[in-house]
Amino acid sequence: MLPTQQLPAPDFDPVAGLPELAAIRQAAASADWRAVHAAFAPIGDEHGRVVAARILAEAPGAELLLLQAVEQYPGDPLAAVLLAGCHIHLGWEARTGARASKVTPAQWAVFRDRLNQAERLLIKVTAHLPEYALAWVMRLDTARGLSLGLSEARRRRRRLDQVAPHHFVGQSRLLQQLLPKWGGSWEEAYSFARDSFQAGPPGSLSGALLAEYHVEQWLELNAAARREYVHRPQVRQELAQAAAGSVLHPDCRARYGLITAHGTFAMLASLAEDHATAAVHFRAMGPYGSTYPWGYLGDSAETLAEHRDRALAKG
Amino acid sequence: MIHHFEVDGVPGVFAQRPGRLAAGLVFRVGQADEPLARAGITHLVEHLALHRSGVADHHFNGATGALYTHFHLEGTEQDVSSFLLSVCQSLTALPMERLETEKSILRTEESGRGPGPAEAFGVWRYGAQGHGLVSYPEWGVPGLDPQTVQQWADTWFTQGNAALWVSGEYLPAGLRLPLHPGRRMPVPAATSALPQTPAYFAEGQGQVLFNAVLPRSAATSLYALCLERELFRELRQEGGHSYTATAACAHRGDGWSVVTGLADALGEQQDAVLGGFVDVLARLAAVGIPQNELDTVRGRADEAYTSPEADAGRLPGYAADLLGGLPLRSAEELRAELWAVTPGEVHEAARQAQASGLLRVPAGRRADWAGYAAAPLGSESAVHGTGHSAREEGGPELVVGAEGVSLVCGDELATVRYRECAAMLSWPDGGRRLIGADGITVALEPEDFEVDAHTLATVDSAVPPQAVVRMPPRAPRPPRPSAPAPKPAAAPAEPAPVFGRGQRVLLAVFTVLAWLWGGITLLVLLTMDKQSVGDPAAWFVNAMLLAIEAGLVRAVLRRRRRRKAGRRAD
Repeated sequence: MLPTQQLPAPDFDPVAGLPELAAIRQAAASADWRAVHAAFAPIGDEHGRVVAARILAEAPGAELLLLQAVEQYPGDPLAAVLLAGCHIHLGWEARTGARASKVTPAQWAVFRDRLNQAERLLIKVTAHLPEYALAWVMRLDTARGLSLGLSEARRRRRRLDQVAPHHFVGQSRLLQQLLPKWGGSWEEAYSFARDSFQAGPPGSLSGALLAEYHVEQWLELNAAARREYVHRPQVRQELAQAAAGSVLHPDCRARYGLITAHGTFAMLASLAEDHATAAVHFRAMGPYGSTYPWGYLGDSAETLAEHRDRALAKG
Repeated sequence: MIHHFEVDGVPGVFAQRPGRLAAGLVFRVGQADEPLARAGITHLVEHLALHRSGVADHHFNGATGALYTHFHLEGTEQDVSSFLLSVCQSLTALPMERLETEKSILRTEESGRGPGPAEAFGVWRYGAQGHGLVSYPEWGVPGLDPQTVQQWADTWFTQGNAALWVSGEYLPAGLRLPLHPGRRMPVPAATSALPQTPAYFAEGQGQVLFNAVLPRSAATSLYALCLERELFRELRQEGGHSYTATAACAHRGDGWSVVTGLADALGEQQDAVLGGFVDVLARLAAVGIPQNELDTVRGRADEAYTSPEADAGRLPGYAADLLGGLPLRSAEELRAELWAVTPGEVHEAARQAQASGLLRVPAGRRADWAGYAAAPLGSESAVHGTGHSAREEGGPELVVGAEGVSLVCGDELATVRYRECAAMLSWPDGGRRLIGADGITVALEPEDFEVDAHTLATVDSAVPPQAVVRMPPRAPRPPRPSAPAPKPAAAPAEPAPVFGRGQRVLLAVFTVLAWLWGGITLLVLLTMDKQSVGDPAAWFVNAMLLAIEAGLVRAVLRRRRRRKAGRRAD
């Protein structure tokens, strides 16, 4: 019996298996702000709030709903932050994921305008409520998109860390900013990923920053160098330690971001032909998938299924 | 207690204080009153008036500010009365034999003076007029003739436009102030070069500056103290991004105060300083300051009124208020106002500061993302007239019309209309630089444009004669490296080699030295142990280190300022 026949195509829907996130989407469809507000209430986890805000931003009609909510409830920080999230999402949509040189002046204009609108909303929220973690996470997005500089991104991450220590999304955002493609350097990015992992409590997702770092390194290399890179013993060892201290740690209770974290470890193991290790992560992922990091290999659904099935068959 | 008296028709104020006698004669005249083409004339008068006081043993000085010119000294009763008499006699008959010498001294003084926050903001907030004139060099000085200078003194340095303050154990008898009669001069009306606020502009490196205009009140002063406290906390204590993070409040002479905030930053920290600065302003505007923190800063402010020499200390400002026709209040009244301020009033001041704010961000940065509009770098429209293409390909087009001149480069425009021309610098080689009342500059450089003699004569005759500044001959400009054409308004064609290659090398050397020395000084200060903290010798060494660093920083600033000459402001 072939494992490929047992496993369905991976489900990439971020709400899959997470009913509280499905409720966000439902509330958005109802076009009722109070329903959205109520749907956010049970999500206490800061990582979960970031994912929920993203799901809402992507929901059809969300912008109008949030514009009305901000107008009707000007003092409600959630409405302002979610509208900012919507602006950020629409800004990046307009910019597209293309390399900066391929983005047209008109696309840049929309991008900047959206991010400016988001940033102004977020400045107000953090001014009133410096403890509002979700706003600081979004301010890392705006800082990167608006090229506000590395030291400013670090400042924002520090402010986030004061109110939500070891916030994985915040760490991941800063890691992206610290990469050469966003103005940083491999050394800065690496030491941030390593230090964050070492400082994080056992079982937190921080170890996945090292996996993310190695994926980004791998991506920058040519085919031959890529192969050599993922097979390097010190890379394999570092990833094994990072996985053991985070997603594979018995204390790991993460509910959000797990699929991406496991997927990143799985991809690196699979590329290194360490099918046994890859299989551990694929099993933990169950029937779910995420675009990152699989999109780097081509069609994320196809490549995830291919690597997963091969690992489960061999590992 | 401040007592009022009068000497030769000049109002005087006296406060008792132990020790030596001190006195100051204040006139309501300063840079803000000068036409741009005569910039520096007040300062020149001040220098000439002090000349006869010569090499006296007592300590005396003069200071020319935006609105007030101040002659002051400390000394014996005899010193005070002879100094005041000498200054007044000189003002009515300036020692014109000293004119050229004092002009040369002024040039040296100017080259050694770094621009402060007021100079940085003036032109951007007010334009090339009134309060904005502090941003400009003393362009008028070289061309001033004795008659014009004396006329200026006779108009502004008069009995009606003066006030005297004296502090000491007693008020000396027999003071004389033989000035010409004259009238009290009103403070110039504040102009605006900002179509909207909050606004920002990008200039300089290593600093973020903020400037806001608020009604003069105890709440405004307390807001400035709160701003200082918050900037220090966010940028120095928590972030470690800045060494200096401070704020101050100064009266503008018309019932409004200017609050200025400043934070310095090392190169790569500039972004964090800007971000943190924006957040501090936003936080104060959003939530104000809690009662306990207000009381802390209020306690500090109150010390200025409760010290035994408080009244003597505020005499110069008191005399200025007297001249400005502003309410004169006792220390008790000021204290009462200070303690009556509520957190809500400081919060309101913070909101107004944010709304009226002007932010200076380091060159290459923006602040539109934080809701600050870009301050105008150019003009809204161009004049109609004859076009002259730039010699260099891709350079701006020069348009000379009946109303004025424009530089046009794509969407970017710089226009100066003749009737709004604050000054036109005119070089014998045909170079012209027109500065509009809004601060926008258009440079007509023979090396950049082919402008025929007839066109140049048209421009010369169209500019009001009193706006023309005849500049001394200048060396030819060194060949320009092939660089992209500068924006018309932000960087007009460099008119003179004011900043040659030698200067550039010196600037680089001084910059490196200043950073190195600064690092050493900081290291020494930070590594002081408990023993050396109480050791005067260690502090002497520290003082020397700091003095050398200050000299280096001054040398850098001086050269940077010269390098900037020719840009929008100067």
